[in-house]
Amino acid sequence: MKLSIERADLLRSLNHVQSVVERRNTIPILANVLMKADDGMLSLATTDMDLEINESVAANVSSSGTTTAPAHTLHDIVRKLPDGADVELELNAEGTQMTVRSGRSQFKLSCLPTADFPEIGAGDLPTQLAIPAADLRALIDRTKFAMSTEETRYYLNGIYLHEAENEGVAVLRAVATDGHRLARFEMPLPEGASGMPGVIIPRKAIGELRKLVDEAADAIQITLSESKIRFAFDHIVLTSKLIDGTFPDYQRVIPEGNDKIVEIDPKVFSSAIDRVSTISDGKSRAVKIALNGKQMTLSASSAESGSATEEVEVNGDTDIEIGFNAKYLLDITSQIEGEGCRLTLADAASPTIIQDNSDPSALYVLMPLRV
Amino acid sequence: MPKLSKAQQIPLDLAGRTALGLEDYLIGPCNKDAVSWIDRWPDWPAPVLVITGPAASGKTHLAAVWRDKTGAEIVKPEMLISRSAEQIAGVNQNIVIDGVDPWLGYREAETTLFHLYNIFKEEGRTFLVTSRMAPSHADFAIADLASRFRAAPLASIHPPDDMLLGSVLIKLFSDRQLKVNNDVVKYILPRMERSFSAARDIVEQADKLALSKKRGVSVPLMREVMAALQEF
Repeated sequence: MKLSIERADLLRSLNHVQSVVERRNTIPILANVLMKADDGMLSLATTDMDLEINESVAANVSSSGTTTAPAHTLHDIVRKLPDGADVELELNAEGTQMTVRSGRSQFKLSCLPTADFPEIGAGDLPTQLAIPAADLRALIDRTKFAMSTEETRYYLNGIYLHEAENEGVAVLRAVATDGHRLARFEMPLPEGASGMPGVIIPRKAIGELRKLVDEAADAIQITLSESKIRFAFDHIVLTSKLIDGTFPDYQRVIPEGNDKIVEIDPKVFSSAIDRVSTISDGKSRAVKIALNGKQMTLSASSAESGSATEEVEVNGDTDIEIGFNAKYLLDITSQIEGEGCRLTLADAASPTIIQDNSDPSALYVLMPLRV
Repeated sequence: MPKLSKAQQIPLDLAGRTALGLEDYLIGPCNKDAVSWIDRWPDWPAPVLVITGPAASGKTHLAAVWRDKTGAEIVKPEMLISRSAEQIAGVNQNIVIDGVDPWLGYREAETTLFHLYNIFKEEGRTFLVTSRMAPSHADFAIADLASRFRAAPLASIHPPDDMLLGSVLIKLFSDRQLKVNNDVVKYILPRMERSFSAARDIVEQADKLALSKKRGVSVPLMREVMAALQEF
């Protein structure tokens, strides 16, 4: 295998694929990037056995071939090369070493046999749909902050993507929860999604996908089965195993009878939370919200630091005192782009619904703190 | 202003689904007689089988196993006062009335149940009722119904032994998609009340506390759960 490629092109692709490689690997081949050079294209692939990324980039291939080389090392080398440089990659005849040349720099990297590289394969992916990149971005952004990071709650460690119905309209819905808050986003059901299985896309796949979608201009092609999902766009294909678990019946935790409604400017609200929570201590970062007619009083106190209060004007007429984790409130308000957000409350021990006044596609449920 | 530093996060009520299949039903010495009555169907000596046992002992689960076996329909016991015996009998060839005991002693409900018994007997059909109380201990309003129910076969579920209780704990955690080590079960068993309902409460509290604290279910967490339950 021998090829040359512009540094910027190689770096962009390596940036994408190296990120799937775990920093610590007990299986050496998983630290490597699979490289295949043929017909004017270099394809790069990495995997952690659950997630696989494959990207192709144009290159001047003078001799086709395949090998695997340490992904992070190769990425670091290319990253440190000067901008605008050309990079030459050449595999020795034994297939054990790859030389990286650029200008006066030369590196020799140990290679592992291509045959050892595991490919998770996709099998049959019967459901096919396409989502515009901007919509997929919104779907991820509105929900991903609520995914659980607690490993024993493996079934909450991702976004639940499924077909649903809202007031008679078929929708594609994404839901994430960590048991403290829940985020739900929906969009009209794309063509081809009807009859799809409900799937839980793992956190890592969501993170990688989110980074890649930023560079995508067109629609993302999605194909899936009950066990795997594949996202394809431009020259990138991301394939992930799905979480083998049952997502809880989330509908039952979205309250329907909450009758205390207040509206507030989300920017004013989040700034006030941010300021007041400077004082709150502990993991819970507790902030108390006291509603009294058109006035909201936010307060926090800490045994060490002291106390804080701030008053904010709201639209509504309700009296209630309730405590929340400030970080959770900020996570939600940061997703609200409109000029008004609506809080629908019941009491100090029940879930509160938060929504963007101008965007019904997202809904957030937040559980209070017992203070 | 209240002190907020010890604030505790209230978790969402994301309870798991209870697995009610035959393969999920755990059999031990305390319930094997009850299971044998289900296996013996349709060879029952009366049109009705009564499953009795303490709260959370698996009566509903065993009834669900029979429902799956026979294609029966589960009817709510409230229907004994809102519907006629003919209407209930028309629901399905075989029916299950789950949790009948609150209605025993009510003449109106018992009258429907009595007619139901007669319809099923006449037509050679079978139905199953579950009750915490055995018919011999229940206070019936209609003597004829009492005698029929007391003569009916009784599938009793007794308090569990340690081995079954351990398996029940594992099943209850697994219903909530929680994987626990043997250490956790070994820690709970000698410290818990010997009942199915205690197992259910312990697992529910463990799930809630783990979710609230974003921790796994471990022995230290169980220590907090058991302490809190004892206080309660």
